[in-house]
Amino acid sequence: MTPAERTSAHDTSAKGTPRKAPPRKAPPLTLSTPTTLGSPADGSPAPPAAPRRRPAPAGARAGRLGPLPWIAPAVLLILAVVLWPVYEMVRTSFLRISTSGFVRGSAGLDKYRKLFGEADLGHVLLATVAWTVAVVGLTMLISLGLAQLFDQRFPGRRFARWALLVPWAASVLMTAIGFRWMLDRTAGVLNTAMTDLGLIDGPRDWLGDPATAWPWMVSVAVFVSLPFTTYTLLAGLQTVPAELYEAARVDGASRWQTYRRITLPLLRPAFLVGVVINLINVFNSFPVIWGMTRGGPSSDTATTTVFMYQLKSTDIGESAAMSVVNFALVVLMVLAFLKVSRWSREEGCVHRKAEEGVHAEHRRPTTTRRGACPGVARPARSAGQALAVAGAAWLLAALFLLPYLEMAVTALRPADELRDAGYLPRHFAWSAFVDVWRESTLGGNLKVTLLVAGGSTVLALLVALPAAYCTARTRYRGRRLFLLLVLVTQMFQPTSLLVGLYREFYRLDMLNSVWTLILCNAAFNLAFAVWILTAYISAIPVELEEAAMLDGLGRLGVLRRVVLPLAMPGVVTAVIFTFISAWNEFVMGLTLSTEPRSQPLTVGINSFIGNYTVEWNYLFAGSVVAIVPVVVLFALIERHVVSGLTAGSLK
Amino acid sequence: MDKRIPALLTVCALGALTLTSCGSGGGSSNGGTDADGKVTLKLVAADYGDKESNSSKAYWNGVATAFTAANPDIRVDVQVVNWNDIDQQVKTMIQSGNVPDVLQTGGYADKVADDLLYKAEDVLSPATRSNLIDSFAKAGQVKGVQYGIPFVSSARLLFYNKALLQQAGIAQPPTNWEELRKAAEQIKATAPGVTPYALPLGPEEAQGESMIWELGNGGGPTAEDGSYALNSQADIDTFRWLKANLVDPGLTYANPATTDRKTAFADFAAGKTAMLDGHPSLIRMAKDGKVDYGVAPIPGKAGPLTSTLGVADWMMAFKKNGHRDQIRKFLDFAYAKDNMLTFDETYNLLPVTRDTLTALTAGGNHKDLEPFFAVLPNAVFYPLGDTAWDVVSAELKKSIGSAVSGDPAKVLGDLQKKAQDAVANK
Repeated sequence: MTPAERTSAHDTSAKGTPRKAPPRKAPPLTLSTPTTLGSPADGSPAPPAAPRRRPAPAGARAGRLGPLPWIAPAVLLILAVVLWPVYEMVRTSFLRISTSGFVRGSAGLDKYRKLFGEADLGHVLLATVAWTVAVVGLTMLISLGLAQLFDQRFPGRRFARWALLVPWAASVLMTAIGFRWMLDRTAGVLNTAMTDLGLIDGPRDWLGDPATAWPWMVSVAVFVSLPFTTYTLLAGLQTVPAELYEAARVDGASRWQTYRRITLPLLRPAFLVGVVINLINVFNSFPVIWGMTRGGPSSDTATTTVFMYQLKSTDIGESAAMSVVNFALVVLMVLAFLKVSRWSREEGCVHRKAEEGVHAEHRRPTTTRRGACPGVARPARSAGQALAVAGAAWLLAALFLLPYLEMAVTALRPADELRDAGYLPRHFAWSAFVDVWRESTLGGNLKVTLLVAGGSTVLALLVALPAAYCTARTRYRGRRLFLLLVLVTQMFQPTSLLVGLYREFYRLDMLNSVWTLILCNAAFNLAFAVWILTAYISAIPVELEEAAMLDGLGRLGVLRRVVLPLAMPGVVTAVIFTFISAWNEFVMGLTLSTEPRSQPLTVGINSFIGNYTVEWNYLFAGSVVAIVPVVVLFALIERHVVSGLTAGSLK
Repeated sequence: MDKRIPALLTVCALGALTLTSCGSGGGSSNGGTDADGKVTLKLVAADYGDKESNSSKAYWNGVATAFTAANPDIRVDVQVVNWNDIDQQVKTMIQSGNVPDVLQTGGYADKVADDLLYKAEDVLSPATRSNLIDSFAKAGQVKGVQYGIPFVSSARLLFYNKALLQQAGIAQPPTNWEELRKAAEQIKATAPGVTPYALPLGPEEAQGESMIWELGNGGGPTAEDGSYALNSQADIDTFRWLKANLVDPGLTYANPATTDRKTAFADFAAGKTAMLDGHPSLIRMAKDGKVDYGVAPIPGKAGPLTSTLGVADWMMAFKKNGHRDQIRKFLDFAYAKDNMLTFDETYNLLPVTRDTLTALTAGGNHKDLEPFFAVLPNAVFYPLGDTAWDVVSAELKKSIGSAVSGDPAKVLGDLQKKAQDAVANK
């Protein structure tokens, strides 16, 4: 464990924590970004931090060059792939457009008037607020418990943690469709199970009635948000110094007191990151609701994002107006939260701590950390307690895996048993796994997805790294503007920008091109990569670079030989998140690739939802094929996911 | 890495330049005319298949290849889109100025409103035009002028599961609403777990199922004069009857407003639904599911419907690229008997041209489809020629299902208001 790895732990847990991204897979906010919204505490005014970040001779050279070469690629990518479509979206909201898509002229503010005149808008807005509060609240509460549980040592912990990651590896849309399938009134295995357990008299149509559909959708949204949030908190837990627990024990504090007085306050930064990112994601959440009820009946189960999508079929201009209002709401909500949580103060102090940590580390690299020394950290447990912990964790792990096992089982059902309500098919048919390759373009789709996920990961890193380096090391003019720009990409979801994206790439004659999807996925994932890398690089002592420069290395040399290796955990984390997010991307792939063979896997699988039938067995066979590579990837790097977040606190 | 950053910069810079230089319209300005003077027609078509092996892509590629062999100066670029996505895709194309030359999909009239389409007479030879079955050609008219060219059709009949009806002691399929209700009650009593009558009023096809029921009560989406009458007394009474006699007593799905036709079809093909209104696609599904089914005229309030709901999918030609002559050649080729026959037989769809109908009927090897052929000439259609229909239809799909759970008069009244707004805006 290198000193840099250790120290950046503070940073990561606090700042660059990834997330499960339900609607759009772009990565999370970091603590440093909200400061761009006008708070003064961008690290610079925090007295102890400022001198550390002084550009030093290196900065002087960068100053002469200007920040432009470093941040220009990122800025251009954002301008081209995010801001231009945003402009198109705003413009569309002032246009009269026929249902066939033909632009008839200016509409002035008519579309906004029409939108605010919609009888449904009131209850949709209310539902959106209730939905956001419920999902984020439950996610945070449950994640606190899960993090505590999975932080214990128990046999099979690695496997249990891996299981927790599986919902993250699957695309949210597929998970939502999987739950819809399990809740099917005719063949739903959850209906069968609840009937057998005596909870209900017979199968029910849960998703058909808003009163029962909402709780289920909230559960699924929580389910898919848990992995990211729990891992964020796990990372936070592992930065709590063991000495504090020891001291508390010596003082005779009870477990609960220890948790409330020590764990919770120290968990605050990680907790806040979780809340903000979940707020944005859940508010914008599209696939969960779309996959389960499509907002119906009527708009009774729609949030503003789903309502926007519904409006598309009757009035494109009004739908664009809804997108604009939606964006304004996200901004207001995030600002309000940051204000209430007094984030900026928090951020300043986290920064300071992180940097103090860096330097303390160099002088005295022996601080005991909980992760490193669990025996000291926790009060001894009785055998019974240990068993209970393991039992609970295993049960939960099974719970996280079950929906995907059911998908696999469905894929193994012969076609004529698909409407059967039993847990297992009477005959197992492997044919779906064979046919799915023969009867679709899946092979080609898989190749496209591999290229897109790989390519956009590489591109996002190539663009983010110089920008992050420059942003971490120099206080160039427009730095806040740049960070604001990055934050904006986080708040937009591709769903509302599709028309703009399509227009753009049509004009460039780049539809059906892998490059298009690479550019788009890289752009929408750039925010996370920039933030986490900025956080990591800020924590690397400037002295190391100065030394390297004295030895004659140029800027790029320093970046490659010194900064990159030290920021490796951050790079790994950025790679994982970008890759998974691009792997599961759906709406852009659907819009920008119209040729079956040039579509990514998620879109290819979706084509099994046909005009008259849904080929559930093929659909889920395809989904399993799509999940497996990511799950295997996770199994291989589970440790790095945590260590990416906690930077080396695990061995 | 050092080399790639400048390359990337160039890409982004080029992108930004292109973006700022384009105002509106735009698109490839050559309009599909290639350097060698050959014309490439852009065809966008819906996919009627459900897997790679029966994708419509193969069909259209075959037609395109044969056509280019016969007309070496015209190439056809085929793009086949999943039914779920085609509306959205086409909208996006039109909004971006990337308009196809020929489009085959579900509706045409909204494109007429903006004068985007050629008249049928411009792009079909007289022979091809007169080969279209009258009722369909007429359904392709907007204000007396034909724009929509029917491509395939289907019609609805009552499908029933013979075994389930027999088990319930029902000798004959129901012919009116009251008989249907009684049959459903008996089925409910004798076959637990089976949905007696499937009423899919979910967003997928609500406009169809609701219109079928309204027709049974002498109603429908429009009044005699063709204006919208979504909340006519006959229609309100229809939904009151459905609510009181099928939905509330549990003789159909608990939440028809969220149940899609796909679900109903799948249930029927699995023997889990006893009766439903279906179209010929269900024949193969029922056979695959080994369900012994029968078809009968759709019950109306007092007796079976004399004219059932017919549905057609449409071909249309866009003016934007100015390829009228090439399109005419292509459509004449595509509408030749053999091509149409192949398509109809591949997907069990009903024909829209006289010679194909004759060939299918005469062959005697389409016994399954004969009841459907019989009702085809008398079929009634959605108000397809109304340019606001697409908006109205979208509103119906979204909300009309709520009429069997809430207050029918209110739900239909709200829809009527929306329809009137759409007419005012069209």
